Amino acid sequence: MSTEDILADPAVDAARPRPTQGYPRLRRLLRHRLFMTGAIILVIVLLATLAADLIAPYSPLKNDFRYRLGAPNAVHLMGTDNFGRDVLSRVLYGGRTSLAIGLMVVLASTFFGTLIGVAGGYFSRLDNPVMRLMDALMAFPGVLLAIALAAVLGPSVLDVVIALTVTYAPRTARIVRAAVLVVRRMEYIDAARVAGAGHLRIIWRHVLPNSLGPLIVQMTFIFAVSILAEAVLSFVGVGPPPPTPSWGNIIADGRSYIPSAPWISLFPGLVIAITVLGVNLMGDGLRDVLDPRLKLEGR
Amino acid sequence: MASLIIRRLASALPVLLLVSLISFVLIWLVPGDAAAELAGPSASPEELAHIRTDLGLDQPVWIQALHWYRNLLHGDLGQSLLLGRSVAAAILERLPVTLSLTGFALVITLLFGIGSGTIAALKRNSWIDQAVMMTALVGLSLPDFWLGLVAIYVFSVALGWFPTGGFVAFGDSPVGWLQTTTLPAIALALTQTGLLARMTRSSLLEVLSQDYIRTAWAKGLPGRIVILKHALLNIAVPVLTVLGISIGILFSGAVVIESVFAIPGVGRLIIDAVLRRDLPVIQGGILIIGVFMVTVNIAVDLLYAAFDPRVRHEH
Amino acid sequence: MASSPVLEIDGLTTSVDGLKILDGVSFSVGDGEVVGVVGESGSGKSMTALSSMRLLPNSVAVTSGRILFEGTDLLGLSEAAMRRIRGDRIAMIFQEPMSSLNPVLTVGEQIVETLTWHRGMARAEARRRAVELLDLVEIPAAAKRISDYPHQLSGGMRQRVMIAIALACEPKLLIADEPTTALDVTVQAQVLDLLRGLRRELAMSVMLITHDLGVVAEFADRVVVLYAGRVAETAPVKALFRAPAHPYTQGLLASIPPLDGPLAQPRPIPGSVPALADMPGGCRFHPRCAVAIDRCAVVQPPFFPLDPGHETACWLAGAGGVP
Repeated sequence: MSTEDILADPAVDAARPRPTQGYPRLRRLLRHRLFMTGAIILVIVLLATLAADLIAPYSPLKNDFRYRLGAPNAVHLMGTDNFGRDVLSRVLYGGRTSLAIGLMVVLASTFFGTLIGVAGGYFSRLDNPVMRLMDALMAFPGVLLAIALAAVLGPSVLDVVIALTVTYAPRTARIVRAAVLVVRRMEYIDAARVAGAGHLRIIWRHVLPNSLGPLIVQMTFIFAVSILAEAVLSFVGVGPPPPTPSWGNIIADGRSYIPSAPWISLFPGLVIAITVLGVNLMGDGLRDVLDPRLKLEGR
Repeated sequence: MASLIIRRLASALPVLLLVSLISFVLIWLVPGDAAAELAGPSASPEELAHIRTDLGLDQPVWIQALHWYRNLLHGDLGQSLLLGRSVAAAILERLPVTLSLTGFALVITLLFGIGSGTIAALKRNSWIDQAVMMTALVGLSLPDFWLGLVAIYVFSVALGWFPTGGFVAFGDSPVGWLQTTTLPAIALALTQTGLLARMTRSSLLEVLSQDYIRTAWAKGLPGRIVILKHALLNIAVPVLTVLGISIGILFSGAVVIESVFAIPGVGRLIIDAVLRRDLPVIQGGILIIGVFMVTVNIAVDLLYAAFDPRVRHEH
Repeated sequence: MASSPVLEIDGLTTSVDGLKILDGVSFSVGDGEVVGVVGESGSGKSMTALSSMRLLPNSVAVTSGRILFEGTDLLGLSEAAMRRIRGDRIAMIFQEPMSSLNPVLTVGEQIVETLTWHRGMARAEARRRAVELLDLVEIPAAAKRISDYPHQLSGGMRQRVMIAIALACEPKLLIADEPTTALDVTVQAQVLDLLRGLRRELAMSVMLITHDLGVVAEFADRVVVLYAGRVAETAPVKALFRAPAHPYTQGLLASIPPLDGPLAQPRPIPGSVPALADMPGGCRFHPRCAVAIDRCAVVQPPFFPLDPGHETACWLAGAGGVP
């Protein structure tokens, strides 16, 4: 009897998650009010930054000393900074840097976190050493470790992504490992193993799809904290270097002008808050729909 | 209980070893020639050689590691490249400042996080619940250092209620301490308050649907005893878990908030070291905070046992 | 009945989202009497018990009826006044001994707090009383067990603790909701013996909620049979087992294997209790009733008295032709 035969057995089939399960969940997600609110917020922010070339009223880098530290008005909706640059334009272009960093950190930490988590959860001999290392990395408060790493590596977009990935991948690894351990105990894995399916095949076909719910929720979380962390790193001077705008370094630029020109720091911070709120709303919605164990609604 | 403490301490040892190893390894991550990178482009060959000897970079790696651990055992974190003094002394001197700030923020987090989360759970699905949960989510989404900047503008610059920065030790003047720490502590606490409020609410909702809560009502106990004694004692474990995480976030938040409010704490020390690439101070600061967090996690685990007899009797 | 009843439930009707769960339930519990309330799950047994404690979930509303306890309508009391009765004059024990005790408080504390709250006892005195109570419910080494946490006790021991808590203030009425269902068979018998002895000793009235007719036969004086939120039959326990009048009661009795007499196959009642949303008209049992007549589907049967204390809501009983 081949693997396919065993897996086609109705009893095994009943226990196996089917791809069609995704559709009712998708429908529930699309009806989830908070999730959709978050998704709409994020889509608007994404489109606005992508279309910066079209909608930004000025160049984000063009100095104009006639309008230094100008308050928001009809021409400069978010005012101008100490070089007379249009803050709105800088926020639009800066979003590209910040969101790109967030996205890269999500992809990288999900990839490495999953790899490490699967290795730890599936191959019990690797589990202890790997997870102790993850514990040690997680012992450092997240942003602080990222600051130290970025300080050592040097200020560039790539270094920031590396620093944040090292910081957040262990958290993903722990979640994936936990999910893998649960799945590994389920009977259909035994069935597949009895049928002679290889490790990689079992991991790919059975273990990973079952870790997907918590993993997706974790991805939204990492996206949110990466956007916040980029801002922190830029603020302390180890983020993407000027003059390229990022939301964090626009706030940092405006810092000295808080008493006289608070708008420079105010607007990028607001945009960060709105974006992260959107991502968090989506995360909550996804958790409701994908991860019933975390739903602590009681009766 | 004693055996629990011993086992917990023993399990922390490998993590502590790795935490110190990670701090040590930071120096290898400096791209290219670390000494040249740290000294800057204008350094003379003598200065370079000096830094190299200072950091032990002229030795083989295993000797460097041996030195690092031997010095650690003596409480020696090395010499700052720029301050001209020992890293340990510089950190210890500033630690009370940071601890008093994060301690204050933690108290705010506890009071408002558990308080608002409890109210939200008791008034489930009411407008109060929705308002608390929305505020918590917004709080979670705010960059705390930015909130500090906004607070400085509103309360210090525009309203003049607080100084724009600086720090007065509690021992010198409690009023001065309160004036200088209130804004940074609130800015720090807001995100963690949101986190704790959400956890409190969801845990409490689960507990309130338990059979033993029905038993408590059936005894004719008044609501305050049912909630404060029977329900809240049972959410200690999830709340402590969040608190352990929150303390770490408060600490790393303090690192940045201290530079926003010009507070001379460990955070400011680390950020200055980051800007000037004073590697021993970065390594030492990271290590101290890492060790502190390992200690916090041990304390949290032991507190689980204090609150929950089932954990206490687990063997 | 000689004296006035301790508890008198009169036309109790409760509903969720406008759907009636209990529909005009009436029965009484006399002084010192044990009344068994039986029925399948979904018949409204637990709902009746919780109504008497005023512990219904928020989603359930009492729409009409009275619950008289020693002559006072509990439904008209303020929450504060009800709280003074709950746990003091009326106490309740639940089905799930494993989860009904608070895991983070010692069993002693869980008894003590009832005494200090209702009786204003000092803690030391309450603690002495708690040891006595644990003794009373036959927990060995009571003085030691008092500092134990629930997870250190077996299911049977925990149910004894629940009983001790309920008896702390010597209630007039004990409501026992499936008190032995979750226990092992041997432990069931012990706990039932204990309850039987205690109610005689303390002269309590008991409302015993159960689906187990065996428990009823052993413990109850009188039986109320509930079906789909309505009383089907009320009878002294002997009469019920000797001459069940309602086809539903007969079905229940037939569905348990007889202990004496020839071994017969138990015959479960076909079908199940209808869902709230589609309750049949007339007699709610008629779709499952083997002997239903046309009228059963249309008109709800009133109560027909058969013997003193024995009445049933069945048209066939009214027609004199007990089926």
